[in-house]
Amino acid sequence: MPSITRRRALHGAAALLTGFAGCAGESSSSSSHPPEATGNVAFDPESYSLRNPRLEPVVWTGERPTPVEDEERERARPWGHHLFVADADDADAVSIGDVDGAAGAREFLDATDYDAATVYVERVAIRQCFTQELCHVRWSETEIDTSYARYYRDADVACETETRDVLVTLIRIPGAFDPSDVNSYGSSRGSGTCERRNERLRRRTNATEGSGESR
Amino acid sequence: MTRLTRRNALAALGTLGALAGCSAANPLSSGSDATELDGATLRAAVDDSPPSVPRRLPVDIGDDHLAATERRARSLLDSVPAPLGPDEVPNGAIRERLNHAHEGAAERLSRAAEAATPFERLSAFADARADARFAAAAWRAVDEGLDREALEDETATVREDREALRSRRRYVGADPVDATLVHAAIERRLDRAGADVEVDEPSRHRAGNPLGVGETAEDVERARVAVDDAAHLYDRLTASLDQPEALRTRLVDARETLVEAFESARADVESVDPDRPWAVEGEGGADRDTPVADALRELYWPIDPQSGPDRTADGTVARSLLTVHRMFVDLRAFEDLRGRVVEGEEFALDSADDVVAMRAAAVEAVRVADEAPRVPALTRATLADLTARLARADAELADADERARATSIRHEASAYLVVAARARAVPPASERVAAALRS
Repeated sequence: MPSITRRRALHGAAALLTGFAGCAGESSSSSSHPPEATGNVAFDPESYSLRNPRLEPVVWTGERPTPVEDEERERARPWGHHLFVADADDADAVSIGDVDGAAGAREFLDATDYDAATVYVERVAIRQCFTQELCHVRWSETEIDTSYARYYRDADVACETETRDVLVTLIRIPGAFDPSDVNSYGSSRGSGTCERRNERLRRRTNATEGSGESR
Repeated sequence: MTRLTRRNALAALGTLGALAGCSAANPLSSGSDATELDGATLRAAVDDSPPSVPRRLPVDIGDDHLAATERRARSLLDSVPAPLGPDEVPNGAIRERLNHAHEGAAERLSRAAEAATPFERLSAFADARADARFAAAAWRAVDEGLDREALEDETATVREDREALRSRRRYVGADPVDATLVHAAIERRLDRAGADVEVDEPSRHRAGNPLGVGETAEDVERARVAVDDAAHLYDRLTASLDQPEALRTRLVDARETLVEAFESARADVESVDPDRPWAVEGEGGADRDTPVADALRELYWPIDPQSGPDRTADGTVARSLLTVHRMFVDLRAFEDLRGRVVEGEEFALDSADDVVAMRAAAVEAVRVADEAPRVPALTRATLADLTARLARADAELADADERARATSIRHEASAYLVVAARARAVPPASERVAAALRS
């Protein structure tokens, strides 16, 4: 059970996002189960990642969130979990912390054609010795779900098993839509390659469509 | 065919309470969930030396072969600095995997040194080599840039050697029971060195990741040792025969006879409810969450015609004969235990003494079965599995808390019931299989 302090911190983080992305507060936070509705899907969409070994805000809107003092709490849920960038005004409102690759992230946002695409920004805590690769994103008017393949980083990357980094992924969803009704967020990751994860989804989608046709 | 899932089975088992008319004794409603057993009594119960039946194979495994496989394991192990530190492998997660595999291989090597029989040593060396090869290859990938492609030639050679053994192997032997055991061990190794021995696309790691190289090398090593051990067992078997007798027809015929007999015996199993064949009518502790309910379900599972494809029909003749043997054991064990429940035995778990009694019955059943069995090799092969199970349950009890909750001991109590029932059923099942093979 989170302590009152942590609840407040969470509420603050969620509130930050609410104004921007229209999230429904704390209940909109990540679920480990992907939503059932498939809607649209994009395999291997364009994306850009920022990794920060420091427990500081990486991407946010409005005022820079204040880091919580207790390190463990920060690890558990720092600074908002996801946000949408649906037009140039949204993009202008996004701040990016002083991390490696920040300029590239800004460029990614600015180079997006918001008449044809929406950027979804997702943040996770990831073990320091691992990285992840985005395999696909599924979305509908109310749900969004991402899928990642998790990998060990190279042997010469110095890292500790118990330490986590903050990893923020900017995903260019190939579709312009109003994200304000999105209220279900899912994300999954596993040790298979993206090729396998994508193939599995294709098979499942085909099977569902196939059974629909036969009825 | 409808596959009966474990979940379904558990759900169906839940209805036993109603069927058995024992809802008043339902431990969930009677509050016995909270029953505590005396930990000291439990720990003392496993303080004796439990019976141990080592794994043996009725073929003479050569000292030279054992020495060679041990040398290979040690040389792989010695090629890796241990323990690896951050200077050698900066990535802590990769380093941890390598060190863990190295420790595992070293532990298996010490276990091999203590093994009671050459056959157990052979298996321990095989496991040690797999772990050691993983560590060695992953380390070479880090240190020297070894890649998966470098393993292709070795993989091809293993596959060729496996095919060569497959094509020259005949079901020869002297005594058909002993031959079945040896051929089953060969079949198991040939299957293990199966289709997965390929340097294909890495499934879990990025190309070039040392762990991917290590895992591929581990697969190749497992296949290598499996083929080599299988060839050795086969060669020792044939060398021991004055006049190698072709037994395949005999084995196939015996399997057919036994499968028919088994199916007929299984058809005779009376059930209170065809949808819940393990259900018990009458008084007794066969409701949900009791050791005996767990034991009945476990014993019924392998013989349930609903529980999967026919495991006796595959191409590996000797292994499938052992499967039929095992099914006879389970059928008899199930009927025996269920019969006792029907007769009113409760197998209650109210005090530590109840567990002590269940264990004593299991130990005694193993001892009796191990005493001058008429079909020693086959009987003892199964008893070896049962004593391993007994040892695992004992290890859990040895750690029992001062006041151990009955629910936390249920699994071990159930294991003792299963071991006792199976041990009693092994000798007659062995005799039946031997009779079919020798007729």
